[in-house]
Parts: sequence; C-alpha cells; structure tokens
Amino acid sequence: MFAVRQASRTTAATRPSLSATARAASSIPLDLEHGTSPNVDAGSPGAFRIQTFNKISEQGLQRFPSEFYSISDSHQASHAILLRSHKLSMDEVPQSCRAVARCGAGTNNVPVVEMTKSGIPVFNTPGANANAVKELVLAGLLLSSRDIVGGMNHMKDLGAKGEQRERVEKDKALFGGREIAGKTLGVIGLGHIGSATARDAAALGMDVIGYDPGMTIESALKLPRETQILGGMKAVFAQADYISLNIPFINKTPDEGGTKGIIGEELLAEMKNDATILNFARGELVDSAALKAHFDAGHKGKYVTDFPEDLLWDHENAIVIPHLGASTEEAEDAAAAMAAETIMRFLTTGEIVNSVNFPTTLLEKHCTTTSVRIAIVNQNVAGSLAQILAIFGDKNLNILQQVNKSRGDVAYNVVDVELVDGIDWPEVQKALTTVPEVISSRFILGDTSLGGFGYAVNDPEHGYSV
Amino acid sequence: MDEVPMSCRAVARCGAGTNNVPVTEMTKAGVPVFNTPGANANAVKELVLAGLLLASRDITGGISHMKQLGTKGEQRERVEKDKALFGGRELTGKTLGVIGLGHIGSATARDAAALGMDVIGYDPGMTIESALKLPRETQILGGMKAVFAQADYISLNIPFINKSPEEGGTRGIISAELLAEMKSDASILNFARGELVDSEALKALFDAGHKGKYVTDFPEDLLWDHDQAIVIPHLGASTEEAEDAAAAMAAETIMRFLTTGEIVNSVNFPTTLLETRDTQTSVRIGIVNQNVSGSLAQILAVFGDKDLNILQQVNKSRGDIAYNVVDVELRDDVDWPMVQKDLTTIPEVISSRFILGETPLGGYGYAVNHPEKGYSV
Repeated sequence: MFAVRQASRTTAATRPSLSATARAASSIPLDLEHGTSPNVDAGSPGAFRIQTFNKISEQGLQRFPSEFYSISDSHQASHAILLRSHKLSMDEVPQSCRAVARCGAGTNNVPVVEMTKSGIPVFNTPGANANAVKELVLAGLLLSSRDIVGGMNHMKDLGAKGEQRERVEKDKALFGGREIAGKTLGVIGLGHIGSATARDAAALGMDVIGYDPGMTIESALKLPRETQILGGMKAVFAQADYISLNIPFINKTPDEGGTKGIIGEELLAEMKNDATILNFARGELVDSAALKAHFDAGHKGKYVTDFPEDLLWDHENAIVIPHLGASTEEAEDAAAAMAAETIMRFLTTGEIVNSVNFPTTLLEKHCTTTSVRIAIVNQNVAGSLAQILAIFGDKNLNILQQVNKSRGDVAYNVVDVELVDGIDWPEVQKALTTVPEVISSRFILGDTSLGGFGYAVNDPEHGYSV
Repeated sequence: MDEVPMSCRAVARCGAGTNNVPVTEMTKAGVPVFNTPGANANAVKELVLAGLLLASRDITGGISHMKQLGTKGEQRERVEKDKALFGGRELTGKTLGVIGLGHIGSATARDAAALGMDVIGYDPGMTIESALKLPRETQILGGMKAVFAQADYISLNIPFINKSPEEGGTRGIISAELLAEMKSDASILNFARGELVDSEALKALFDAGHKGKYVTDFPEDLLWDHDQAIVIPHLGASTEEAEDAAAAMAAETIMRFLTTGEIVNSVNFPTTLLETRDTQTSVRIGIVNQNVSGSLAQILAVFGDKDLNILQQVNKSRGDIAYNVVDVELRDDVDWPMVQKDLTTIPEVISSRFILGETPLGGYGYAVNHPEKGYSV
C-alpha cells in the first residue's frame, strides 16, 4: 500500500516502532517513532528506495551502495525517483518521495511546478552529455559542408545498378562542398555544450565567435581564449558561416522572457546567404516557417536539427536527426552517475546541487553522533523562518548551525541541533512541520540503514503524515 | 598519349594520385609528371573525421528513419522511443590507429588528438618531414598488426601501389591476417584507395560477427549494400578549397619547371633544386636522357668540344631517367642551334631545353630526339 499525493489516503497501517535491530544499526541514539503512514515497505526496511523509470545505466546504478539503497523499477513507496525521458505524472510520485533526478539536461517530462508545490527538489545532470552533443554538432558541421548523406544514397542507387565504378568520378561533383577550416562558427549559448563546441571548432581551425546572454564566470573560464564574444545574436548571425544553437528552451516568447521561436525572421535575415544553422538544443527555438520562407527566397545554407521538424522534414536543405545528441553509452553512464551522486548527496547530507527548482545549498559536515540535522521545506512567505526558528527556541534546542535559502516560491532550511537526551523528536518534528507554510521536514541521518525514516509531510489536503 | 603533343614538356595533375596518367610512357618520352601532394590533406582529413562520427552513432540510419516517420506524420510521436536504435558511442577516450603518417595521416592524427582520442600509428616509409608534423602524443608502434590489435578506429592513409604486398605493393594489404587482429567492434576508415582492403576477407569477418563498421570513400563491389558498410562517392578532395589549392600548387610547380628547370612534386622525375643564375651572362640547358652509364660523359663532352664554359652543372637520376641541368657562359659567337642538335642527338638523350626564364619566348628552345621520328625542334 502506498499513499500518493493527489489520491485520497488509504487506511493507515499500525504504527510500528523502531525495531531494536534497526536502532542498534543506527549510529544515532535517536528515538524516532515513524512509519505511521502506510509508507513502510516491509521488503527492505531501512534502505532508501530508489524507483527507476526507463532503463538507467548500470554504471550509474552501481554508484548506490547496496547496503543503504534498494533500486527497483517497481518500488511502491519510493524515497527518490530516477528517470530519463519517461513522462512523469504526479500519480507516480508517492508521498514518501523526497527527490526526483532526471538523467539528462532538460526536465520537460517532469511536472516541476507541482513538484515545487509538494516540496520536492527536481535534479538534472548539466554537462553530463556535453561531449556527446558536441561530437554530434561536429558531425552536423561536416554533414552540412559536403553532401555526404546524398552521396551515400547515390552510391546505394548506383550499387543496385552495378554502376558505382563507372559513374563515381563523374557523379561525385554533385556532392562536393567546402571545408570548415578557416570558416567562422558562431555559438549561441556558451554553457557546457557551447563552450566545448567552441573549443573543438577552434582546434579544427575555425574562427569562433559567440554570444550568451547568461554568461557566467564558470563558463567564461571554459572558453578558448580565441573565442570572440560579440554584443548580441544579430552580430553573430551576420558574421558566421555556421551557427550552433546551445541555449535552453524556455516555453515563452522572447518578449515574455522565453526562447520559443527566438531564431526568427529578423535574425535569419542577417545570415550570410550560405550560412548553415545547427540546432542541437531544442526544435522550438527556431521559427520554422520563417526559415522555410528564407529557403524559398533562395537561401543556400542548410538546417541541421536533432529534433522533429513538421515543416521542413523533407526539405532538401534540411538534415533531420532523431535526437541522438545524448545517445551514447558514455553520456548515459555519466548522466546516471551524476544523478545518483546528486540524489545520495541530498539524501545523506541535505545538500542541494544541480536542482532546477530548489536553491543550491552547500553545507558544512555535521557530526552524526553529537548533532542531528533537520531539513525543512516551506513556502517562501515572509515570517515563516521566524516561526520555524521559534520552535527550536521553545523546545530549548541548541542550534549549532543554520542555513536558509530560497528560490522562487520555495525556501529550504537546514538546521543542525545539538543531540541531547530527553527530547521528544517526533513531537519536535510535528511542531515544525505543522507550521502553516511548512511543506515537509526531514531528519537527515547520513549513510545509515534508517534510510526511509524521518520524513514528515504537511499536506494541505491530507494533513500531517510521517 | 595521343593527347600529348611533341611540344609538351610537362604534365601536372591537380590531385595526389596519378592513375589517370600514363606515367611510364611519359617517362619514356622524357616528360615529367607532377602531382600536388598535401593540397587536399585538409579536405580528406575532415572527411575522415566525418567518417569517425558516422561510424560511432547510426546518424545516417537515423536520418533515413526520420524521413520515413515524416511521411507518416509520426516524427514527434516516435522519436524518443526510436532513437535508441541509432545510438552508439563517443570518440573521446577511444584509440585511433593511423596507417600511413604523411600529409593526411599526420593531419588526422593531430585533429583526433585534439578531440581527445589516443592516437597510435605506423608508417613503413616515415620521413623526418612527416615525423615533425606529428603531435607529440602519437605513439608509433612497430607494425600494422600492433595497430590493428589496439585500435578502436583504424584510418588507412597509405598510397595504393598496384602490386601484391609480396611484390612490394599495397593491393589487398589489409588482409584476413590483419583483420583478425581487430577488436570486435573496431571500425576501418578507408579514404586512401579501395584496393588496399581485401573486401572478401572483410565480408567474412562481418559474417563471423564483427560489430565494427567499414567506411570507405570508394566503390565497393562486395560490401556496397552491407549494413555495416558506409560507402561515400570519393568526396575526400571534393571541396572548393582543395580544388583551389591543388590547382594553385600545380600551376606553381609547372611555372617553376618551365622558368627555372627545377623539379619538385614529380612522380617520375628526380627532385632537382637549383641555384639562381644570371640570365644576362649565362644560359641554362636542361637535358633529359635515359639513365644509362656513359651518357653523362658524352653529354659533357659536347660542351668541352664546343669550348663552352660550364658555370654549374647538376645531374640527378630516378629509375630509368636522368635529368641534367647545365648553366653555361653566354657568348655571341656560339651556334646554339648546333649545340642543341649535338646534345640532343646523343643516342640516350631524349630531349633538351633552353631554359630562358620568364620571357615571351616561352615555347622556344625545346628539342626532342624521337626514337622513330628523329630530331625535331
């Protein structure tokens, strides 16, 4: 039996108390009476239950030490979810779930807004697939410079007629083109993938120009010194022989701060008449109708895209690849490993990195024998922090360190308190979690066999549950 | 040879291979044949790179698939599921083995290293010039077998010499024995010449379960429709830049030969570099003869008999041909046509040429001693 976030609660199981074995295995002399909700999986008591959707790389799953983590594609009351491109619905997210990690960069298949409301951080794996995408961009550069695909198809036709040798030297002229060395590559977006692409293009003798509205110091450090940063996308489009798009897709129009159709008529008009666009970021970034009009008006360059193309899929200037950008063993391994590490870090220390909805939170280590760490997720509303901290005061709990971070509508607090005898910890947890704006609280116990314990949720409809 | 008039004294091919030129007959006729080594190196190298990537993920299979899905309007519906059919691996961290480390092989090694590959190589004919061009990280192995045993990708960049390996050639040099050494998923990239590979042996390897690909830039009689073969229509040098570079190099080579007598980039004549000369006070004569002992003495004797002062003289030979360039003092009282006839009618001499530099007298001064037709100017 398990409770889900939007369905009605099923009957609560009897409250099992912490077994003597489990308590002995714990390094924390903490009396936590948990398991009041029907969230306890008798099959693997104590281990964190990781639910997988899609086939996750073995290399990644092996990162989870088997004593503390149980991985399955059919856990009912999971503590964390690991997925690739499976379209996740909230029905599949039990109330026990406290983290979701996507092996990949985009999170369009995860209902992030609802996750935030439920106090669940969603993690992704930025950079894990950078090399894979970069190599495919390179292939795109070369495939658009000589008609290699056309030539291969032609050779198949000739082969069928036994005319390969007879005709190859004459016919090859139909498929020739140009080299990339000495040409200018314009990179829009200079994050992990954009900067890796810039670096390799420079190594292959291209001149590289770029623009990134959201340039960070981190990405600036990764750029090859020779990359010339221009003032805007228009300048890049005007000078480049090839343009690589490496910006995220934000599903709003540019006027609304998004990137839908950001490559529109105005930018396309700036291009050299034989410039080629390489889109390994997201199909929706490009206004296909405007691009088609551009081709109809005589534009000679190509459009290489890694995404379905409703308008241009059979256009002779278009090369459509089936989203192979991250389709390598190495990227799948790297993404799974990164996702695993991120989840374990969150579950065992409370730290948050690589989250798309929660604030990055780095913490000092806490001593699990003399302190207990409590993480509290609440709606980012004025006054909540004071109320939360008041609880600690009321219970006479000595705060050793405390961090508060916020991002958008959600706030994340981590409080380390001195571990002393005589505290009714379940009572403390209930008091903390039933503060109106608080969504959930969690006792972070490190790597222990008490994986699932210590999580309490203050659900708006169903009330407090542990 | 019908297209080569007797007045023709040089042939230059814009490209590397000269299979389309009757080189042996040219040599017999005393005509140097030039090519343009290195002019297309970057073009071929970029295509080898494309080959590496096409062999690593089934990109072309994916492109075809998207076309089919497009006709059924199912691209969006099916792409996330179907893409798993076309995935593969990355180049970074893999080993590239380069056979032949001349212009193209060394350029390929350099770029592969830049992309994070480990590069090993072997070249039976390594020169200092090519060694200098290699990236320091390229590990040179002891033979082709060693390269085939360790590589994830193998690029062939050796010339095709139309004899079996036992006879000193390279036909079918990529034999069953070498192929057997390969890792089970290693790919071969052939942008050198189709005939280097024993296609039957390769097909047998595929039939036995070999998982790697064969990417070739040449017609393939046996494997053209094999699902592990990628056949490209000889596009290695098919870029504007390579065509420009080859033509420019060929032009420079011809002009150099015609105006100074120097020979570089010839496939049949010996490389000959010369000092500059004072065109006011000397005349340069280039003499082509069959490489037979005693001919040089006879040629030089003519100069002695005519009392002509030799300022400098060079003799070079290559196979059946010898090439002499003699600079003599320019004097008014010499019957130059007579000198030329005497020189050129020596039995082993094929032709002689007064090299006049850049002048409007381009075509003059060339005499041929044809075995059948005799002496003509």
